[in-house]
Amino acid sequence: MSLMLIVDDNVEFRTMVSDYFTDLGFTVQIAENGREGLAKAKAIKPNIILLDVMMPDIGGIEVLRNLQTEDDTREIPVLVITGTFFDKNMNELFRQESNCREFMSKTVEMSYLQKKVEALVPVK
Amino acid sequence: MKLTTRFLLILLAIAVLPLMLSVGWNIYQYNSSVTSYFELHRGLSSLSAVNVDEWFLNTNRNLAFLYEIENPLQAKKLDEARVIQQAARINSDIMSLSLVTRDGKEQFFLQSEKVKEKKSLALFQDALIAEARETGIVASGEVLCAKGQAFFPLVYPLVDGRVVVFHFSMDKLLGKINSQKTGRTGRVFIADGKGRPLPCQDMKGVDYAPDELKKVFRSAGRTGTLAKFKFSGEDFSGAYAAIDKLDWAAVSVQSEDELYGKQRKSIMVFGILAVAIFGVTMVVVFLISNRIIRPINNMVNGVKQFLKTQHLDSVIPQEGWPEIRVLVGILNRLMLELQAYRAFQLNQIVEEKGKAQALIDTISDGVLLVDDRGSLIYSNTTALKLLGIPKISPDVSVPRSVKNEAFFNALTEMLALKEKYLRIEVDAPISNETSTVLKSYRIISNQFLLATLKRPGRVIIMRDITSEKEIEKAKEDFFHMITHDMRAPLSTLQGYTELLMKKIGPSPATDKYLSSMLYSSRRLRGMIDDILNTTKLERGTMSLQMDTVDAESIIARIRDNHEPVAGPKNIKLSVKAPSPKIQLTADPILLERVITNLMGNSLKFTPSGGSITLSAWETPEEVFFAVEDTGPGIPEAKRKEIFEKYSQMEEHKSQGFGLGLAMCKMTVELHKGRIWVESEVGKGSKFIFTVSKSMSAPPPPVPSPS
Repeated sequence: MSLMLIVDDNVEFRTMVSDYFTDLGFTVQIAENGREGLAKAKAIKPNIILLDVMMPDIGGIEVLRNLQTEDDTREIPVLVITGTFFDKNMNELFRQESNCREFMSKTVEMSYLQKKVEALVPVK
Repeated sequence: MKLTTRFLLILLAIAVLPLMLSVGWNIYQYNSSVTSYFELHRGLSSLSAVNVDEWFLNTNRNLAFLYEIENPLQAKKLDEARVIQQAARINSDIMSLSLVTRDGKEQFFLQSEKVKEKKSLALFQDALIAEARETGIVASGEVLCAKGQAFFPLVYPLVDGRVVVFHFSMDKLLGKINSQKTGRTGRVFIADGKGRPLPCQDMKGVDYAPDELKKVFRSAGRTGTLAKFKFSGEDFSGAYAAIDKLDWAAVSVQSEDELYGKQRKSIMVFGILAVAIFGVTMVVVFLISNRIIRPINNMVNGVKQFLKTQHLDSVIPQEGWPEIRVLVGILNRLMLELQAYRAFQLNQIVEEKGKAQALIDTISDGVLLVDDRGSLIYSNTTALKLLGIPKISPDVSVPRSVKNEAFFNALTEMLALKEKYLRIEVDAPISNETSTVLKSYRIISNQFLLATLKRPGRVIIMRDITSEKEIEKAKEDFFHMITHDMRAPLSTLQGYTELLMKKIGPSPATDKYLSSMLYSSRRLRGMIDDILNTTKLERGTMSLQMDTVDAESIIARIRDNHEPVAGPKNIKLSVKAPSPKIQLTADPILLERVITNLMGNSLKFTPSGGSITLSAWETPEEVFFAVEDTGPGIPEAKRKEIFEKYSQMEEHKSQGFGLGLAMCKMTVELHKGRIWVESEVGKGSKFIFTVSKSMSAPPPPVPSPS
């Protein structure tokens, strides 16, 4: 079973995504904020992380960088999904981080997201 | 030169100059006639002198017979009386001939009957006889006038002491000479060496003083002229010629009055006329100067004064001739009206200025007018306050006098530029009574030209755009809100719909309901995306997420997405699959938005029963996409316009934002492509766009960790 960690403060979105991927056979864990997300990532070592950008405590970019500092979490692919109206610079900023595989909008269709996730984590 | 002087000179030239010329001509004529009259009289006198000379010679020649009497050696005894008689008979001029003995007795005498004096004329010549006897040579005496007849006496002494006394008649000679009359008063007469006229000449009307004539003879040569010589109290001119042998002179004279009277008179008349006209001219000039020139001078001075002071202090006095008075009146009225008009204009200007001032002072923008050298021509109070200039004065210049540092820098930079239209934004701290606030200003400058400026000056407008910027910020915040707060719930909705479709499995009812839900949420999401994309495209902040796209699959997906709407509307959607397959590099999400927008438009306008065809094809440089419908078509004139933001055909105003095609155009251009429409009104439209194949390939995929 592939393990997925969703770090997002938006309940509706994370629940929906969680439901969607659980249905596909993923084991989905949820973190409500950045710190929790870092802690959970370290603890459960997921196969893939879906990360929000704007969160109340620490933002997506910091989570991304912190993940790189630990050997355990450095290699975990991260998909950054933002609900924010992002601009080019922000996009570039995230793409420079080695563990960031995709940078996408929350309006993404689930089928598209599914395709991206499956490309990174083969369903077992 | 003064007007009066000029006038005088002109008049004089017109009136007097011809007169002067004729006087001069007359004088010239006079002089030449004087010369010719002198010549005439010189000729006459010479002629007369020659006559007398010849007569005298002739007379002498007649004395030849006396040799016979004197020559005693001749054998025969002479009858003296007979000889003399013979001689007298031969020479008709000899009027009287006497032989006077030594003791003074007249031996005999012979006298022509023509002689009116019956006594022997020799009786008159005692003095002459004595002289001849004494000297022993021929003696001639003064002409003897006896009973109106003139005789020239000659006494010839014989060797035996007797004398022969001759009297020659001079009447013929003198008559001939005196008869040479020139004109009415011209006379020729013979005068003796003492200036006296020979007796028996008719000297009536020509009495004169012989001494005067003698003086003339003495002072001049053999011939000479007489001028202003008094004869009977009148001036005469003329000439004389000397008769040498007799110490006489022939004199020819004529009254000057007759000679030159007319010319003198005409000279005098012309002279008087000239003087008179000069006088008249003076009077006329004086009158004109009084009646015309003075009023003209008054007018000139009055108008000059008016032009100088711009104010009519006193009207020009009405003087002179009626026309001039009328002219002065008109001029006065003209100046008065001009003054009134000027006053009116000034009022108008003041009023206009007041209006402009009120307007300019009321608007919240700072307004400055700066001339070509940077001097402040005009500004409103807002501008002065902003720039920290206390008051407009001639020595205020921009940017030197600007106190506010931010504005100083901005204006310095701005005025150094040469462009006609300039625009700059500056943040400047503005302090009021209580605090200092940082405000944003947009400074707009445009050139303008005044008649007094050599180079163009500048209008500078400083607009407070702080609130504009705040609104801009608010708009951004609003978009932020939309994305963050609206997209997330929408995504949830959409995600669960997809999940539900998968979970429930196909059944006609759920299929229809769920696919409609999915279509609507996608459409809503698409619209939100379009708004955001347009904003980003306009700002130039859009970044393309390049990926490899399969042309057929993208148009097929879009066809599928729109089936839920096309089906019920009875519109047939079809895809012309390109063969072979086309792979291109583009931003798949944006590309889909473009085609979806075109599709949406076609769906909107195609009537029931129509069809929409999606197609794609390629050339070596470009990939083409087309959406073709059987809608109403787009008129020629509109085919460019529809790609502008917010432009919509009038009849479709209620059907959307009008943002779609503008976004499509910008997106396509970002893909280095073109977009256009081919259409036939009533038959349909075909929207075509291209994507350049030169678009960069997507970054190589990061290898997956596992």
